[in-house]
Amino acid sequence: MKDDLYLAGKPGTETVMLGNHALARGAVEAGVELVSAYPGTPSSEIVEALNEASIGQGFYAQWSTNEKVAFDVAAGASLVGAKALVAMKSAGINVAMDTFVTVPYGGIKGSLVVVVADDPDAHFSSTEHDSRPLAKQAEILCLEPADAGEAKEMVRQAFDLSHQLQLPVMVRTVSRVSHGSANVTLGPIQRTEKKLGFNKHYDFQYRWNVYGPPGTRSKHEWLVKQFPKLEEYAEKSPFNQLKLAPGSRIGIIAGGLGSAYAYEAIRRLGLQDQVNWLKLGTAFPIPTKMVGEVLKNSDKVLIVDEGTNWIEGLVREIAQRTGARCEIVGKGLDQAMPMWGELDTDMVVRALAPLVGAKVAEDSARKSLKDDLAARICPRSSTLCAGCPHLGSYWGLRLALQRYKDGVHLLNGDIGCYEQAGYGIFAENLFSNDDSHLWKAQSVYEMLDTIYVMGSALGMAQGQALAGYKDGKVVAVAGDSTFFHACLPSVANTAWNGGQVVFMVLDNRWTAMTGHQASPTTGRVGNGSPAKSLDIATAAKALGFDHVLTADAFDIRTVKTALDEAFKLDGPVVLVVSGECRLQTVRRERNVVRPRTTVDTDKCNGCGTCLQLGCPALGVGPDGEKSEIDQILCNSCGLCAQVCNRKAINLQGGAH
Amino acid sequence: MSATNVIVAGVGGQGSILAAHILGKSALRQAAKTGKPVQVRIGETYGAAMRGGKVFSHVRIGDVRAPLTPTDGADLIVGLEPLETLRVAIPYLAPGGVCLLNTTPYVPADVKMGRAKYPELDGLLSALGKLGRKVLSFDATAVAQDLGKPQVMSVVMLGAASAMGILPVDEESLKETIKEEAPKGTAELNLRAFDRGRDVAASLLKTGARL
Repeated sequence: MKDDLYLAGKPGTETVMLGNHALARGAVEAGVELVSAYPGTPSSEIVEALNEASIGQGFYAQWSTNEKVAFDVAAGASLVGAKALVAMKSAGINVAMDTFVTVPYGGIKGSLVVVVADDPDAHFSSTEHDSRPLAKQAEILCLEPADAGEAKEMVRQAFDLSHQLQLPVMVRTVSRVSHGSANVTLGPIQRTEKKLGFNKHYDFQYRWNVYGPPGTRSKHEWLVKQFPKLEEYAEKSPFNQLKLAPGSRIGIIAGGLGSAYAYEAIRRLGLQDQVNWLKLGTAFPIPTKMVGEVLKNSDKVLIVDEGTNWIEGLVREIAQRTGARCEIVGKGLDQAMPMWGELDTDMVVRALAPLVGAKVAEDSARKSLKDDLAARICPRSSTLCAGCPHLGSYWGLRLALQRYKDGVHLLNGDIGCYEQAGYGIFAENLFSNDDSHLWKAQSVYEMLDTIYVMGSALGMAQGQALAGYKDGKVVAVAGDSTFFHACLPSVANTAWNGGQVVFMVLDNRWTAMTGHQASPTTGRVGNGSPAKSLDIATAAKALGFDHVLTADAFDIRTVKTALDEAFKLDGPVVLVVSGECRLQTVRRERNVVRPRTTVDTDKCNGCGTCLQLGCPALGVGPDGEKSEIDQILCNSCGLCAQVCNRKAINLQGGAH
Repeated sequence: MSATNVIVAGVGGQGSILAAHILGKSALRQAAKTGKPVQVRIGETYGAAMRGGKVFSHVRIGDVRAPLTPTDGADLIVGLEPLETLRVAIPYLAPGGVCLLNTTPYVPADVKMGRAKYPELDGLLSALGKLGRKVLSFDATAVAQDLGKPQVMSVVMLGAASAMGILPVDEESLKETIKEEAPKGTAELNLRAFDRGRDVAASLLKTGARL
């Protein structure tokens, strides 16, 4: 998609822009000087855009090894006066939490804008984590855009606000804003003349050392005393809009994307200019006076909020303070809208209708037609890509574990493409609370037993082993990017404390799942320039692992042989399984003629073994029995040829 | 509330996101020409799979703010893949809405591995007909392959959609946007794909085939 307006578009141009690109454009318009992030969907495109834009645009951008590092890099830049931006997804703010809550104690000299992309409905995430309460925990301002246009404007203004308030400013988006597109009018790009400088005693003594005198307590006091400035801003922020409807006793307070659904719900019910309306663009703090006006002028107030009932809680606090006696309806006790999943206009209509005495009709004939149709559709499970090296890694693991048939093996997964091995295809026949069942993996998609957060696999595996688990092998997997993101302390811990664990690092050279960003093993940095390629095996050895093995993911035999050895060794083992993300190889070597993978139908007996490999290019042919390869999808990796027992699959014209 | 809601449904890699953005940008281009401003919202829904996952793009043009089409609110579904068209039509196709469908299936791994059954195409078409007002279907993948590049299938579908008289965007604006948005060196091919799609739909509309 050609969309480079985030760096080059002319001021005044109106366009339709992706929310993440709009956030990036806002930073460019503000004259950003340093940008850092670890990729995480739905936030990745912000810094991806800025990485591309950074060359020749007078600012620096990087992919960091994790969110805490990214946060430290941006915070450091702000201390010498730079305009810095750090971006992450909801899970990432947890990683950065330590610095995130500490930096405000010392204040900011330049500006620090923290963009956090939440994911209601968990489209791409393990939780629906609402990050806004963390702004309150850090005691900083939080802005929340309703669409891409506002997202751009908020980021642009957040740089100035951060500088004025001497505090980081958080911008919270959600997937539908980050990955949604809307009208954006481009503004002028401000060029910042770099005037970096450091002052040990900026504004007050020993400011940057949170532990030094005058002490943490008094720094917290300073921070808390800034709060009125935040409240003052909330009252006059252009992103908060109050419109009272004379004579109406119904109010709506809607935050961020919730305001977009509320806007349409009001129109659907024909209530334009008939309700007291407050649209909130500040998620913390919210404007006490404006909220008070709505509460005072209404008997019933509906709170429309994307995420948890965060805004509702803040409104109830104001109602308690101001003695308002109106009924507040939202996602809390009354459950007018659910606190899980995401909103849509229909939900808001259903919550609003009873307040205004309107009826929402339901068509039962249509509903039964829909139920009938729903029964016919089949699932489309998420899979690894055709030619993915992880298909080979997992097949090798399956082969090696076959030697220990009686074992109840524990395979601990981590976050990345390879987590697909824990999704299951069309999950059926699930047994709950029944230890007597041995779950038979029918494909590579049913292997992983645990998946939680980045870097947790190895630590969990170590815990299982050290607690004395003996019923089977204990394995952990992680990718190259995850290895450097959150595994390193665990690698040191395992080398130090021991544990009979086999840790497979599946190195495909890219942070592929979030859209192929560079990883420490890629040999490039974010903007594409050549860089060091860090070696995982060397790192594991340096951190104290005695047993470090390697294998080629595209040569299944080497994976199996290495695992055979690993399972026999005494003590923890790191096995680095390497094979570049096939999509990247194919993209780069666009003009290379690759061998065609074909099925010899005379030899194929339809046993279906190759289908269990889980490659999307493999299927069953027109006879309903023998295997067939989709030539458009196939990336000629040769893995299926290796798993076929009858040598019925061949690569015509050489090896992979 | 005056708005047109279009959903482009397909599978990752089929070009649904590009098609949605061409639609959205064309609407703004036309607004700039006619001086009648519009709001455009595009809501993309896709899962974790890089390739082969389901992708739905909601394109909303008019007096809109939200990225998602309301239930039973889609005026047109541009279906790049049959199963995914049905999946999105069930919640969103308006009783008076129209479905435009590429008949070539992209078979899910679940089906390939023998764990699920792909719905019969004929049954699927009649089901879509009951849910909305009209279904127009043809093999757009074959048309694209005939042009030498299966990747232009989504633009063939866009061309067909533009012939149906539902889009609030004129042919000229669409073509100008395609010229600008097409990957380097493919503008001519994409414009040809657009015209071919238009022709196919126009003749289908004339004969009333499968309506």
